[in-house]
Amino acid sequence: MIPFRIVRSSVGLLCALSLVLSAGAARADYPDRPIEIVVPFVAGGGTDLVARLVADYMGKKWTQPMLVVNKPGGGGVPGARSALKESRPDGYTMLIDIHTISSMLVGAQKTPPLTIADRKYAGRIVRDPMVFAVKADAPWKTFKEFSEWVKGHPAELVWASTGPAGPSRYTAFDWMTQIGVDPTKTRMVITPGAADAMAKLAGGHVVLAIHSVAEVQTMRDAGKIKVLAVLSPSRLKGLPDVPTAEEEGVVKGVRVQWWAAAAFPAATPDPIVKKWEAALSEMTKDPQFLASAQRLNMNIDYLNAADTRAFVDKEVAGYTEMATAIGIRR
Amino acid sequence: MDVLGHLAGGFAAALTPTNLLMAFVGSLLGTLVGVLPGLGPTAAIAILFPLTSVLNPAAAIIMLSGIYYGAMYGGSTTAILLNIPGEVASVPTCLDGYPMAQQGRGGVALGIAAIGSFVAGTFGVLVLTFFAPALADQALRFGPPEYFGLMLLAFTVVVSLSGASLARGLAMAMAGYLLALIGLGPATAEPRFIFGFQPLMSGVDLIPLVVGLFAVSEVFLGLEEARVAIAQKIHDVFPRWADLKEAMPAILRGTGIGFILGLLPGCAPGVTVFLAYDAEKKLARRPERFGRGAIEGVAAPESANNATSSAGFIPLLALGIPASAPLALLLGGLTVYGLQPGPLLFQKNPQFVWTIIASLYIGNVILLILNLPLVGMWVWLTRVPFGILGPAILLLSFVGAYSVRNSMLDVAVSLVFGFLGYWLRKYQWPLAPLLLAFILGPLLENNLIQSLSMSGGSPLIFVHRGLSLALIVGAVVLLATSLIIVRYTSRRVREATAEEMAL
Repeated sequence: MIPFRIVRSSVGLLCALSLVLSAGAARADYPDRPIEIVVPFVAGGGTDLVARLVADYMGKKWTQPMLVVNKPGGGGVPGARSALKESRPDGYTMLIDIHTISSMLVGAQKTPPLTIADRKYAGRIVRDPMVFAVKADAPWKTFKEFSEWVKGHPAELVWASTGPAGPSRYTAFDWMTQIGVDPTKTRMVITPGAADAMAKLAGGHVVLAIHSVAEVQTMRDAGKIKVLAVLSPSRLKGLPDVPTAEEEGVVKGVRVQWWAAAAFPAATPDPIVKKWEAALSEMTKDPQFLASAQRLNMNIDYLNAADTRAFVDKEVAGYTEMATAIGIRR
Repeated sequence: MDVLGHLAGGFAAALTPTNLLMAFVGSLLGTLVGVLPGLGPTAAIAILFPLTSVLNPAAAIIMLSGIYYGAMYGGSTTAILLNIPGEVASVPTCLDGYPMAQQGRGGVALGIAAIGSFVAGTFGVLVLTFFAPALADQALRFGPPEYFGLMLLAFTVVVSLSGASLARGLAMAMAGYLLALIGLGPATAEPRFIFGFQPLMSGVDLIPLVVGLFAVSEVFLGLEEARVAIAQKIHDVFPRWADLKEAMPAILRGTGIGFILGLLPGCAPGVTVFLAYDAEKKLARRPERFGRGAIEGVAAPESANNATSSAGFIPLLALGIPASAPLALLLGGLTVYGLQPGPLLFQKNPQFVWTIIASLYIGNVILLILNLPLVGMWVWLTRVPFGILGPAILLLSFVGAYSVRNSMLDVAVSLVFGFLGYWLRKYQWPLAPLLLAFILGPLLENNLIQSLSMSGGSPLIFVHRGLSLALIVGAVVLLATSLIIVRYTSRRVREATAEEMAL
């Protein structure tokens, strides 16, 4: 039997402790400890670089360390799950969300492991359009010319696709449908990633590769490949002499692009998300930040929280329709 | 192009105190990381990645590169002294390195490993200096059919790794291949073999598997044997001239194999060391010495893995294609500084490129200097009572396994395979074929699917392309040779010792 005085003093101590702690929590400003930014892909890749830029800026702004944690594998889904569903929704775990684990995932699966409702967006940061790349010494000079050739020789089109249901495939599907080519007649080569596809393109093992601007930059600068068109509403500042697919009269509308946004678990308190939204808006106007992004060939294109959600929902509709038409929606 | 002039300028920049310090720190950290099982250059580079925002480009890349090739040196130390490979690429080194240590020749093994690594690394950087862009272009000619042929060739090595029983070796290879299937299928993105257990969607990762099968199981075995300390004394710390002469051909061959295969981004680094080991075994006059302390069995893989890591810089700098995970991180590091790899890098930022290349030379020298005298220090490791060393290794192994993907699943994998490895080793089932098949399985599958996609389903693509046909024929020839040699060696061993050959 524990003596009563010990019980009494321990209870007293507990009360005191809880008061101190809760008072501390109520008074502390967010953030009062390091924030973990989860990247469900390998370090050094596109998503990771966005995270590091954000971490760098926010770390300085809020004088709290921002830890970029990479959890690659499984197409990015396990890492995203750990950030959205297996962590506490207290604003100290953030996810860099991209299309392959959000809109594209939901569009392709009837019961996806993650839904858009699992996220609360703080804002979109980067938008990287897709481009159509062929070998530098390929005979076609314009995208229109190339598309005509594809119409006539679909079986000779060997093209690289990152993953069986990745952005390359959707873009290709959209393009082929609009020019009247049956995608199943072409030869799709599935590659694990963009670097691999670029190597195959430069080596002449595939004829076409469809990737984001950042992913083709290195090979383009090395002079091994050329970009025939960019899938974007208007020409990009970084590629002034590359026409848009719409300009070439080949593909109308942009339904596939690479983007990265800051997302929190759905139950995260609104004030925290709003704070991030404001900070992101400020960040994407900061000249130093923009200069660092420019060095990385990153196209900063900010959207606030509500607009990001609307953008993603629109993408979901587009991908659902395409996935059903391709026949990969399960 | 005034290559030598540029190189001289590079050396001038690389020999500044800051950059020298960076090279030293990187090499030291890399060696340390290589020694620790499971913790690899990938994790170390990833942890130090934020330094890229405070250091200038040359200093940061010099340090990160130092970690990368330093790890190749470190992995051999524990492989030889404790039978625990610090890296996947150190696994073949255990096969002959540890028996050498048990015979009191541990110092010689370590010395030869260091010298072989230095020779290979320097050779690699020399070729990089003069031929980088041209070689990178040649490497691009390897497409899916060629890689398939190459992986098929590598698969035949399973035969010589099987030891006494070919049947067991093949069974282990099959098991390894099945393990590699777990996760998302490459062509369909459908989960395979996950049995509804979501975390398995990421598949079984290589590092936790190696850590479990080799490091954790070794600790269990050591605890069971009630090892007190490693009994052998390290007599000769520096190799004698005779040892060097014996090992030199193996070093040169290992360098060649490691370098050529290291140029190919689609060839995993672990594959080259197995091929180098196998080549030595096939070319040796008395192949039955392998597995019992043949010095070529240490020299060849160690040279091969350093040659591979030097060669990996060629597609990285010339084309921006990383051949392995640490190189992908280095690429990320370059990108952070806005430095685009490619011929333009050589033109727009020559100072940077040549500084890096010069520091690769310097790094090799630093590592040689670090490692030869440090042998005494590593030897001290073996004097630590196993009751302390064992748990320490276990702890480091689990941390290393976790560090790969920040995933507890990997820790569970290393534990499970620790037990499995323990049982398999007790009952003389060869582990190396399992590992090799695990690495090669996905490569074979991906390249086969890609080749058939390219040809619209026709297997004739392998025949129409000269290089791929040559490689497939080579694989068949190599298989036949391996089978003959295995039969020959076991006959010789039985004649010589009246007992079965063990691996």
